[in-house]
Amino acid sequence: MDIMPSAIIIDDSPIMRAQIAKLLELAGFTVAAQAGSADNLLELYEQHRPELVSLDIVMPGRDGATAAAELRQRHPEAIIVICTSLNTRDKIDICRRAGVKCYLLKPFNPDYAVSVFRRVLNYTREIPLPKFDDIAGPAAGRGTVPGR
Amino acid sequence: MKDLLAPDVVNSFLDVVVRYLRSTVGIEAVVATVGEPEPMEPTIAVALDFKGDVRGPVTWVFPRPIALELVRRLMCEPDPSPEFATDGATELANILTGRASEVLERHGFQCEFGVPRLHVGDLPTGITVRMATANGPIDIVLSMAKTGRFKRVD
Repeated sequence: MDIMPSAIIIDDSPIMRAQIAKLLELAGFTVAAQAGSADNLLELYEQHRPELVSLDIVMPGRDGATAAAELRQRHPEAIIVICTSLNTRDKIDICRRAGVKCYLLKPFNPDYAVSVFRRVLNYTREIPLPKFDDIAGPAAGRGTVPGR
Repeated sequence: MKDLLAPDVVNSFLDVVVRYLRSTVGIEAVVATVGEPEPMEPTIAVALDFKGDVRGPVTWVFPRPIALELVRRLMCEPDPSPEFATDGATELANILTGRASEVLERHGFQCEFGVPRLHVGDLPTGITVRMATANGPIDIVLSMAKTGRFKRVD
């Protein structure tokens, strides 16, 4: 029996967590845990060992870029997708140095976000992920949230 | 007196806001006034504080229908509960501030902003912009001031 890959979502916005959870499920993940801050990210990761961590940057307490660096230092195998509205070069650089693979800019194009999550899923199954710049570049910002 | 943002920076900031209001909540907005706006119907005010080369808050005042439109779109919920309006306003302020902060970086300001907070009471002083939309006006108060360590090179 196939076991679905799991993900955890760290974002201080409940409505963003709801949207990301839906997109992850469409991409084939189960959501193992959600939290509104990154303060307990290490514990959550060690408890659930997810295939993917969706992480916001600007949050109460520890910011996502710092949390990503700490998580990757302890668990270099952790695959993190940053989901944020912040697109400044210094934050992208911190995340890149921490080994973050993908940087998704809010507002998401849902189809694009699902495709990124699926590529991460494929990566965990030994299929190479596109280079960081493919995702952090202009493509990430082109997304729109379609109407109903 | 505080050294507020220059008009070209403000205009670029507002261009990004207009673009992302369109893509995020499907709303066409135009700058209606710059200055003291008339008070509006019950609204939600959200502030985010900048620090770095510019310091101080940007405050967003959204009509509830616009805040709920974001909730409707993000949660694929055709009729979201009004209690989600605050979450919608907070996230919309976060998205717009994040995307518009790219303008500040392009103009040479190294800065970051903090977690959105609900603003209660009178709006702060600053560059006050009212945007007209079909769903009611959006007010933006740019109270960020340049700090002394920033030297702009034109």
